[in-house]
Amino acid sequence: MSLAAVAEPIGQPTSLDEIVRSCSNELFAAYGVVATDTVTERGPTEFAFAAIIGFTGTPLRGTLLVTMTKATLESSNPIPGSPPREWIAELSNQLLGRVKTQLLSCGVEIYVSTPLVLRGQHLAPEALRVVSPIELNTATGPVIVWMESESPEGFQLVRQTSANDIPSEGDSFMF
Amino acid sequence: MKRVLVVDDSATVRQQVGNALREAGYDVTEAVDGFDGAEKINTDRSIAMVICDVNMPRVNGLEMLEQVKKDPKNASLPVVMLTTEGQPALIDRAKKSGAKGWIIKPFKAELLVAAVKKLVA
Repeated sequence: MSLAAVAEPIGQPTSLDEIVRSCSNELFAAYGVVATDTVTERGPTEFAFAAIIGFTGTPLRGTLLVTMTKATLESSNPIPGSPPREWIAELSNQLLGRVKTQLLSCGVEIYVSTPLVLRGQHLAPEALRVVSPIELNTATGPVIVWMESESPEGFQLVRQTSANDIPSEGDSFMF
Repeated sequence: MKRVLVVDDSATVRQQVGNALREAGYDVTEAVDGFDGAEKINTDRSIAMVICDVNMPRVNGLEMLEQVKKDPKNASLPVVMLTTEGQPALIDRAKKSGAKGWIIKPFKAELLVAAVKKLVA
């Protein structure tokens, strides 16, 4: 389901978690990996790859961390055999790109850094506060996405334009 | 055979775009960022079109576009941006700087090839 189909009406509050969850599902679907929100195990316990990508803006800033098993990474990779480091970095970039586009409909503009890639076991952030991961189950293992963010007290994301009015993935514009 | 330059810091994306274009009968050359892309555009006059990412190290795609379009020799060179970015302000900047199109990743190969065919016919 596209985010546009579930997006809150203009003027209604939304949450960063909901945006990240929708964007994660859409991104993996675009690369042929069916993900559900229900996980059968708690995080990748085998060696996994993780990409960390920061963002800054007013009034929102933070970090996105995506981790998945090598098998899940390979199953989403459109170029079989290309380096895992390369692909998870691109996936994290595309995921935050989607989030960035959705935040624009809430009047929030963020600037994204370049991703850092890690490989290890039991990868998880040591967050400033409790951050619940967004967990997607796939046939080849779980995908875990953490979004740690900071914003002023009382800050709320509110749709200012329809998600249908902002460019979305796969759109093309010829001038 | 028309030559298309693919500028992207992701080797996977360069390969993905390159495969789609080669299958459609184009010759593909690659650059790893905007600095490399501008150098190739200025030295390889056989390049008929450019597909370019936006967020890249050293010189980003919009900076590269603005830089190469300053040279009158590149005025008619079609450039299409291929990026995760969807901000209207960036799309407008690309348009004003002389880009011919903007495609948001993940891209559909058939749409990309159609855009290339239209611009390098």
